[in-house]
Amino acid sequence: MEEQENKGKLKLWASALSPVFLLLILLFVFVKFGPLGVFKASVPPIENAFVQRVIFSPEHMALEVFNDGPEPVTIAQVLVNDAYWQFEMAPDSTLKPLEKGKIEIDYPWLDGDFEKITLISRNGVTFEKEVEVATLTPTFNFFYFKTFILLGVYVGIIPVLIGLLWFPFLKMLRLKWYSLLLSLTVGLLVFLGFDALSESFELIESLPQAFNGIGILLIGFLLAVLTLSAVSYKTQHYTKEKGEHYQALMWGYLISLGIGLHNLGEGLAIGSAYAVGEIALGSLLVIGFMVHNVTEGVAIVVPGVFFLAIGAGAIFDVSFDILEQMAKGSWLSIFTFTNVLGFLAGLLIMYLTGFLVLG
Amino acid sequence: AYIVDPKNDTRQKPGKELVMVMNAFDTNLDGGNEVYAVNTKAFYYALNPIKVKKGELIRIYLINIIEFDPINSFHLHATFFDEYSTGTKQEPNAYTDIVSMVQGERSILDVRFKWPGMYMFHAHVSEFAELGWMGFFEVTE
Repeated sequence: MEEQENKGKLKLWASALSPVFLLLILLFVFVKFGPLGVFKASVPPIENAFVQRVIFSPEHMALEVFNDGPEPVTIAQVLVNDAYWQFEMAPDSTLKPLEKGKIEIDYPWLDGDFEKITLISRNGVTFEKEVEVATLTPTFNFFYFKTFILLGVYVGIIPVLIGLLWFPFLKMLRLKWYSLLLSLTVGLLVFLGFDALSESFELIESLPQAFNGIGILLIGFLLAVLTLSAVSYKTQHYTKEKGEHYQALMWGYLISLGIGLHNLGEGLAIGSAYAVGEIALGSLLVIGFMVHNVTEGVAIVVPGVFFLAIGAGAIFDVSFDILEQMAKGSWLSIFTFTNVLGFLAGLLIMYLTGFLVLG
Repeated sequence: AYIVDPKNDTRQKPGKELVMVMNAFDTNLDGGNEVYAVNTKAFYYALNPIKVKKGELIRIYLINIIEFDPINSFHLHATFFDEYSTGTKQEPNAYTDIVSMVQGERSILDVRFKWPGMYMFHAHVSEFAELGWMGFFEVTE
């Protein structure tokens, strides 16, 4: 009997793997002997270099360069504000695809000035980088650490705690008003969700193409939706037994998770924007989420895109859950006049407070 | 260079004859030049000054073949020279230290250095100078 079983298993594996095996052979034959000549026509190399970050120190600039294209790039010359400057490049002047390098230039930049840096490759292709406002790049030290923690508390923790203080009031409400507030919440959340998504999209512009920012965004967004849904589904079992109270508590957790992740993304965006001096441009209100033109290195921006997308996903998932609960089966029933007003009010509040955080 | 002097040349014989072709390169095909030079290599004569003798008559055959930029210029520090526009007359038409040239224009410049030292020569269009069109004469005894 066992022999039969083993034979059956062998058959299963063989039938699964043999097409894969044949595919590998095909690829090998194609690459080695195939008509690839068609693709090797004399075409100038596709070069793409990307300046991720400009670090300013006294009388000196350092550029973090990344090879974003499929071919190696050799940086031959560096121009600062339309004049050739001597520079040094580490590890060497040729970057392989996806390789990083650092260019050091002694340049007497002035605080607040606009700087334009152009890299010229061996083949004459130019890559530009503009810095709107040159400021000394902050180095990590305790002062900044303390300041940003404090900022995080002021912007992220305290307001949320204040909001939680509404709980006793909410307990005393009748269903109609309670639904109104729920709708308001959903309005706020939906606005926030779209906000996070759009900020995520903007950040993608600052990423080298090789990292497929849209892919990261999609993965982050869906990760949040799927995880939260899975968690909801799992806990549904328990909540059915433990009643509405437990369910509401789970919601609370889910909403906090969603908003928390969103705020994590925002925090990363603020921190990195400050680090590249974009905040020098403007707003005293650091809560003015300055994600525009964040040109931080991959190490920061990728998580930024990812976390904002996660936040967005979480928010949408939670909003849907809330609406589903309100609906209790019949979706149209949630669109009472009060609820609709509440939803619109939520959107409007977010929109108007947005003016306080221009930038 | 193949130089044909006029019959009955009344000009003084030069101690040195230099051909200077002002050219530029658009490396990224955007309709603007990225590199400017005299005789192709940017900054070449800044790093390898042209050695001449004090008092020697230097005849420069200057040609401007820069595309895209409507005007170019040749400026020499601390000295004046005779300019023979297009090199068609034996009498100089100007005694100056700066010559402006449009695309395709050429001139002959006769210069004599009175004192030893380093004399910069460059385009007076700052952008061109910063992008490679500059050099030095090194005048010795």
